[in-house]
Amino acid sequence: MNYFLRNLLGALALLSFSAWSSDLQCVVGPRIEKTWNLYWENGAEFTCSHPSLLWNHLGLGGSVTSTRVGSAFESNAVQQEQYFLSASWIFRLQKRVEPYVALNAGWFWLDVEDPIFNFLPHSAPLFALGGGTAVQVYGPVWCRFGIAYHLITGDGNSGIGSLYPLLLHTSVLWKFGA
Amino acid sequence: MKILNVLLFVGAILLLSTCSKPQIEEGVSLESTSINDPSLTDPADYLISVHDSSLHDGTLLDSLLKMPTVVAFHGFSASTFEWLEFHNYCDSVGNARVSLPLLGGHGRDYADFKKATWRDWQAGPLAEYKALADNGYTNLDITCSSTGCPLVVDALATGWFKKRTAPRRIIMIDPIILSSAKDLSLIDLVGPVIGNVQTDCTEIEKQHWYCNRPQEALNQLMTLLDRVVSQLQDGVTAPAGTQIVVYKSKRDGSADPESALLLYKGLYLANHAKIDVRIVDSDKHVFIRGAGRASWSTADSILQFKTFAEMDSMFTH
Repeated sequence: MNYFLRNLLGALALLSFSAWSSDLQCVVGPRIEKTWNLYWENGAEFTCSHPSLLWNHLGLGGSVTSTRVGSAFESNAVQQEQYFLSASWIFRLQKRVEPYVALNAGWFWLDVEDPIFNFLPHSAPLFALGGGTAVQVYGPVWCRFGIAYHLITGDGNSGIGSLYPLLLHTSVLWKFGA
Repeated sequence: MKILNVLLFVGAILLLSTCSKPQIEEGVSLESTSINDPSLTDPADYLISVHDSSLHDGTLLDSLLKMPTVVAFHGFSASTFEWLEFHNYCDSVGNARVSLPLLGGHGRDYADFKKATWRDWQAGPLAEYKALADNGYTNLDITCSSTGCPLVVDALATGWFKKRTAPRRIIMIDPIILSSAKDLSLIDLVGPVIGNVQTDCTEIEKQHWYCNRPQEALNQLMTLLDRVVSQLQDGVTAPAGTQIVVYKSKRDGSADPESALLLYKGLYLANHAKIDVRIVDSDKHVFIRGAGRASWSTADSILQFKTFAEMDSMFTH
């Protein structure tokens, strides 16, 4: 009985998710990021929305960027990564230009590379306010231009010194789903 | 209506700008028109090139040419006072001589500081180095503090030393590549609104530092730091025979300690060996200067003289 019930619930959950996900809308693609007066950090981002999440206005997503594929690629720049989870409010849905505002939280990693610098902070939380706009280029291809302001920065003692406040980013995104 | 909004916005910015006018104490602070750095009035007491040019004894000059001769680059908004204690230490020990040039645009009044570019700052100590090299001094060394260090890195990156006698040693004290104050990175965006940044100074510091920093000068500082970050990213190689030592305070309210990491990664000796980085347990920016500070402990003094002795030893070997 338990076995039957478990399978039934599993099948129902799968069907529900299948029905729910058929309305899911996502964008994903590479992201280019420039910290104002410091490094280029590149990577990827995604955002998903759904009618059940405030009628598609709420976008949930994330991004991973690193100087390893930016300023530190075959150079002497410091190697560091930013991991962001973001919640955004998307305006003007179904239009060619969709502005948004976002709250971003995440984690920052610094690779000090040599034991001499083990005294430096290696990681730090991220919290940033952001905004920008997505523009439909052609069919499912979109471009997103954004700006973010880190509310937490570092001074090399209480936080990472190469965590600067202002971030500009752009991404080329492929939209799929409903 | 739109025009009214624009006018209100411009008015608000102008109001904010006028709120940050510098408060200069005439006759008290370096930035007033009545006080200059003493090296401007008595250059022979501060610049070895000027001092020795007044000597006409060829024998004496020949011995001086071979003596370790250090050109000290002071930091942003500072003056020759920053390296005066080291100068006096070397004078008392007698192994090396220290020349104290001013960074261009420094040591004068606020208006001069405001209009100077980072290239003007660099030109002051490089002119002293060139004068010494042109006159045949063979044991030239450089020491720098804070912003003096990115000025030296830029000179290395642009090949300035290739045309003349290279320094045997470059010793950096609390070099700034990343500022501890991250708001500085926004100065090119918000500078006109800020206008002037006032910092806390002791009565002695008021006589030797610019305690008011105009946004134009801060903008120049950020331009220099951004340039040197790029140069280090591409890699900067010292001239053949030049040794480089970096001393960095662990806790520094002005020069982010991560600055030492950027130098360690981006600055190489001629044989591609790593530079020597020494992290010191201090919370003072430019920890080799004790005079005029609001707080200075016995441990600070011990570290200062230990470093002076190490530097003197490096310059004389």
